[in-house]
Amino acid sequence: MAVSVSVPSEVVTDRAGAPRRGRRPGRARLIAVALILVAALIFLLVEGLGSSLDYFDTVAQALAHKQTIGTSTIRLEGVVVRGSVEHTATGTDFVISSNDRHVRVDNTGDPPQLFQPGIPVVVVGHFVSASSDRFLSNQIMVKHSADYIAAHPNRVRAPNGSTR
Amino acid sequence: MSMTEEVSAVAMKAMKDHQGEPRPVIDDELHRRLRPRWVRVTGVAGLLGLTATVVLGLWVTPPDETQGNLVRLVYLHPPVAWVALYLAFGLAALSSLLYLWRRTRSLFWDRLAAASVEVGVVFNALTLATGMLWGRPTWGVWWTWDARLTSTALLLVLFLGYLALRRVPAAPEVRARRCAVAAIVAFVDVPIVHFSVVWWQTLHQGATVLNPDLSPTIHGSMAWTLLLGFLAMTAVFVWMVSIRYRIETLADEAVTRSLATALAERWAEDEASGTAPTFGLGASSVPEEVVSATRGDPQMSVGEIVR
Amino acid sequence: MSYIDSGYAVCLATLALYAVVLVARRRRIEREAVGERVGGRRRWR
Repeated sequence: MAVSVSVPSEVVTDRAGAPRRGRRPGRARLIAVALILVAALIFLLVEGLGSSLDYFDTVAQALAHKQTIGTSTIRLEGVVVRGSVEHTATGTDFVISSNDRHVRVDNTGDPPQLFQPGIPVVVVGHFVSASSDRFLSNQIMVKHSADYIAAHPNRVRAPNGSTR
Repeated sequence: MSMTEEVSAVAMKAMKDHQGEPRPVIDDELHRRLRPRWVRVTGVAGLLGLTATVVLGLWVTPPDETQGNLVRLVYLHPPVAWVALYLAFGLAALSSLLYLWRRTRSLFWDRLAAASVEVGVVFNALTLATGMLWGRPTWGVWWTWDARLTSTALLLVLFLGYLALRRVPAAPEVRARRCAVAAIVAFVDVPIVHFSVVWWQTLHQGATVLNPDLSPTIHGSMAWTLLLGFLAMTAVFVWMVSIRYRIETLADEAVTRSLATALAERWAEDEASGTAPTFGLGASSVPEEVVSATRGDPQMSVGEIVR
Repeated sequence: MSYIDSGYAVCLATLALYAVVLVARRRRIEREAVGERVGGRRRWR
């Protein structure tokens, strides 16, 4: 059977020109799945996770819940008190504070290069005992602020070995 | 234009062309339309802006009071994160919404979302990389699982999932709908990343510019260089998305065209040999097969139909 | 090379590489679309 070109062309235009419209069954399902996912995510955030996503306890928070913390390993945050830093044979001892509460930290190992008095740090470790406020840490992380202030050329501190 | 209309229109053109000399479907006029001048202008602006940011950031700006010279990544890391989270994934989510909304539904939005996500994934990965290289000397660790870092890593995985979903064979409209939903679901993580430093105590610092008080503490030339960094990265993003969008469009057209050509060639063969097509009742059943194949089975790709 | 220099290098090199890849992909697909006869090889990306 010989088929001329013009015949299918009309048929094609006709058929394509009137595409069948209608609800696809998958559509409602997709939207429902999306809504459930979003709702689950929001529920998780508001109810389930809450403050458990906090990366650390501040000194004040930790001392307030000292009974429940005991000697378990936590991350503790506070500002390094000026004049409290002592370098020992095994590491560094210093005092960190928040809201006028203080914890004495005995750290083993080298502090990071930005470590210095007056800036907030996070230490990882545990209290010596449930009644003690001495904290044994084996890691210091510097939590610098989001403020950027140009160092005055005349009082520039040695930037702790950083070249750039 | 729906996929079916697109295929049949191109098929008509291909079939007419088959009679005479082969002629490109994409002609010079379409070329110019898809490659406008503003794209080149944006690219040059991004390149110049980025160069200036690097020169100012590494050599002209002063060291920071606390961080010393380590502060200098502030001119790259936040602008890169800005592009990934707010521009790229924001545009992808917006385009996906516009695709899902009936009145604005068009494969244009689908392609724009696809282009935007791919660029966003590159910037998201760079956010993590520059952040790690900044965290190691300042914090003392490459990585830690605080809320900001974890949610940002999750964001990368979510949008990598989007890119994987795009590669699952399906009819264009089915794929577009699926991916639009996926992009919107993935975008839920963006506000979580943004507010993570406000909602939870994190090792990562809070926002400098968009902090809750909206009172940035960043001084003089540092602030201006940071602003320039944001503008330059924005220009780079616009340039990359426009190129990536063009690739997406041409790839889609290549598929449509190959399908149409296969049909046209088949018709021509049938005509030449004088035999009826082996399927259906004559030539008129060819488009019918396309119609039912592209609409009926969402799992079937256009590529498979041609095969 | 310091961490900060590495950060700049990684960031700029990745952006440059991605830009080159994008332009190359665009060139390839444009050649296919314009330079050749209608159709050509089937692509599915």
